[in-house]
Amino acid sequence: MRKLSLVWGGAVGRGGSGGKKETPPSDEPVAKAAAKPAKAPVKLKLWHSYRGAERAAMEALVAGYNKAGRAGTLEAQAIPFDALNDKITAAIPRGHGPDLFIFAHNMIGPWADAGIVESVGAWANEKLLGRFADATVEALVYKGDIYGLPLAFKTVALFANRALTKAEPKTLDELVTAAKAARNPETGVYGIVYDALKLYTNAPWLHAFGARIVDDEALPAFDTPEAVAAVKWARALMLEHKVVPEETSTHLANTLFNTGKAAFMVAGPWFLAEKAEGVELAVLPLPEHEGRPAAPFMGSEAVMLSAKSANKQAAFDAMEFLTNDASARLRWKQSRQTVANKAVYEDAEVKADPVTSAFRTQLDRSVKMSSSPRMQAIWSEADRALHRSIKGGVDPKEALAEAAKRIKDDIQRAGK
Amino acid sequence: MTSSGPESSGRSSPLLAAALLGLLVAAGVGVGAEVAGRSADRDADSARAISAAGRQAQGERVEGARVLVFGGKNKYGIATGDRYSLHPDASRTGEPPDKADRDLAARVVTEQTPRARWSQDSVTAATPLPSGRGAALVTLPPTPTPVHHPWLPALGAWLLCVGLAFALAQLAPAGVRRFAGAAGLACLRIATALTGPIGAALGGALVALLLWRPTARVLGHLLFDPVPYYYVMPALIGLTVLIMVPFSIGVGMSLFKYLDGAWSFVGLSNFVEVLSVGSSGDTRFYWTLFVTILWTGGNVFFHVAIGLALALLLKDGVGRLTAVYRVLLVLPWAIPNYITALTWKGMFNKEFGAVNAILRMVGMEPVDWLGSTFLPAFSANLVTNTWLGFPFMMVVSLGALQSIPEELYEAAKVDGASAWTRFVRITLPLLKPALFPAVILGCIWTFNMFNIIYLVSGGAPNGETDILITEAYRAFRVLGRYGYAAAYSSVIFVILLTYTIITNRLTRSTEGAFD
Repeated sequence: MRKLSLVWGGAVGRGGSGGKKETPPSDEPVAKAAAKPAKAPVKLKLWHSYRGAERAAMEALVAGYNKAGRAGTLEAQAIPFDALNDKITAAIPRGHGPDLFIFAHNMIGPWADAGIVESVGAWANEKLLGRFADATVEALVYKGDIYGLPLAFKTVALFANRALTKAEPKTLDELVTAAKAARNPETGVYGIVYDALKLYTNAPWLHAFGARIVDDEALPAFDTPEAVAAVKWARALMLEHKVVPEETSTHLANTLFNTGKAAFMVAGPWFLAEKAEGVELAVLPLPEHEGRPAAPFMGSEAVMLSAKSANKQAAFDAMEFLTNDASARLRWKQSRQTVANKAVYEDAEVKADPVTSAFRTQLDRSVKMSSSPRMQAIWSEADRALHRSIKGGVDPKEALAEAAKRIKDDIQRAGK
Repeated sequence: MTSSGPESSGRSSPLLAAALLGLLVAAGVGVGAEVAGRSADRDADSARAISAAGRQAQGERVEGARVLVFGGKNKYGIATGDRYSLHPDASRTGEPPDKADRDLAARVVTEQTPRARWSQDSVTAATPLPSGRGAALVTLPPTPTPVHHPWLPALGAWLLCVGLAFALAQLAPAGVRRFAGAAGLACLRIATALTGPIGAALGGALVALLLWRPTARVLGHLLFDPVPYYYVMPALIGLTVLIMVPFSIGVGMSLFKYLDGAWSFVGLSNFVEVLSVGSSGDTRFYWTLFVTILWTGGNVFFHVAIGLALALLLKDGVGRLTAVYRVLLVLPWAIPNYITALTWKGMFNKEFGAVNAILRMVGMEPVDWLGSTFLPAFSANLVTNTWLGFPFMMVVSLGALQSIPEELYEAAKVDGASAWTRFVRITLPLLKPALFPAVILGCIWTFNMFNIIYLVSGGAPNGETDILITEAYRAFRVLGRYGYAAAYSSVIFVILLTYTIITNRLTRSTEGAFD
């Protein structure tokens, strides 16, 4: 396979001879950056929304970085998750933002288009990116540039309350059987709980039935017989088998599961921090249907570089540090974070942890969320369509078609 | 407003307000155009940088080389490494190469303008280049520094010129006014040279405003007898910074379209889109407007009815605990409304909520409140907001009731008037001056009561219980259409302004406040 000649015109400057000037970047840009902290270390700001153990782990890493005598010193600031997105969107274009921030990859599209997040393609090479599970890196690519380095991945999986069910369902049918067995209207025990009217939590069912949520151009693709079948199946869980409560927010699902009123729950690793004492839980990969996995959406949580950072080189050095294997191990040890680094999952200690292993398996059976700005128009309309067709007695075919049409109209009007 | 009497000032104040509004809008447009101009400049700068770098970086032609480039709106050619290229069979990567805009890719590559920053090793095949075309990758210097307009100093100079023109016009004796006007125009011309057409438009508006009699009078007072203005200055500054500036920027934004961090001027097309019935027969705006009016009317009716009834009860006292009840009944108002909204949402839950638990207890069928039909969801919103809104009306009515002299009632009793007659003939007319402004205010608050709709029903089912402000929020937040959302908000403003002016005219309810 022939390769392109690579000419770094701008970087090399005007003195180049044109033509055949090849100045490939160093294979070890990171090592180079780290090797010469000739000047005083630059101060870098990092915004994140970690809480509890994850926050403690991140702060320990930041302290470790500051002691390591590298190109910069980090100052980490925890910001409530609900506010972080808005703060990044508002502060960075005006130059008040941090150098680095941690967020899921789904905002990369809008942020890259608005010039908020900087590509790290100039520094990140194959070797460095080889640390991470492929899917977590692929999620960070938008329009051919890579934005950020992955810290962790987040997907939902199937949580089982072992006091209520011993089943390990391998297929959706087995899941229904186990849920029906555990359901007990007398004691108020439900089969499965999750935010049953939202696209995010219903995505696994759609994928299991062979449907897609969006097509290659991030336009809605759920207007298909497969998706209709999946929605009908989800509706049957609630209305026919009555194993799913009719109105469940994530909060209510957590409460039901924690109080022993739910045998199964579809939830992500974030629930582990809220697990009540004494609940004996097992985490299982979501089941299959006719050989297709019920693949949940995968979010790649990454440390990203602000386009307005004054010290991008040093900031990337910090990104490299926060995402290296040693840091990932520390994050796993302290907070059981589902880290993106492949090497961590080779450790005997990690392999022995059933929860981490289940999420690792789930990663291979997941679908990365699209980071296109178009997604913003899709979530709420799709949620509405699910609400109407699962609970509202509207024909799923009609509701999904209407939502898809409306989303396409919205996208077209927004010019996206 | 002294010399020409209340009548003329009364006539000119709406005009003055309109002129000020116009000026604010012009300022908003000016700022918007400035921003748009700057981002256009940034694009032009990067185009220059790309072409400069491109010539420098004339790469060797690589026959049959394969480069993966994404098409569509993307202005840049981009090569990716094989690990991150989009394999035709890998659905999870999203965009397979056959969707790439090959022509654009080829053009971008031959024009030497890609923004590729991948290491050589990682650049591999995906889409073959058409033969005869070369390929090279350039990297641009870090974000080209945008050239800012020196518009702040220019604005300063311009204000100085305009100020000079104004001072000449004001201070000069009548005979010299014409000369002063000419001098002012000259100053304006200099100012225009410094700031460009937008500055000229703004300047024209400002000069017209300054030379216009009512403004000139206010400004004349400001020059020669400024003391009263010192007193109102803190409020005026607060009003300007907190309301006028955001408002004018918002109105200005409504004339622009936001896409990918850049603003472009689109005139009134955002307004046309808000108000027109969509191509798909989408009458959302008018349905939403209808729901909003229903929502506002329903709420204010219940607020006033419940508030007034409780005020009547509390006025005469309901035993020893009257004071305690007064405090308790104000509590819904004192609790932050989003907390109340979330509490009520929990109570309306179909299976676990308190409302349905009570219904079951009394042997009724539980209602699917926030489910699939309009009426229950709308009622849930209405109940929540009624809970939140009646204390205000109660407090207002209670205050007004206590100021009604007891003798009137006694005299009426002596004349044999029934309790109902006393209420209709004495209480209501005397409550009017206090209650009407409260109702107007209540309508405006309720019209824009975002929290309740958003948190309780969330627009369910299918956006039917959304009101205008939650739709504007959706345009802003979900669709990221800032200009369109600003237009939506401006329409809401115009509706409320019209409503206020009309009710003011009809009821003359705020008359006392201005006398």
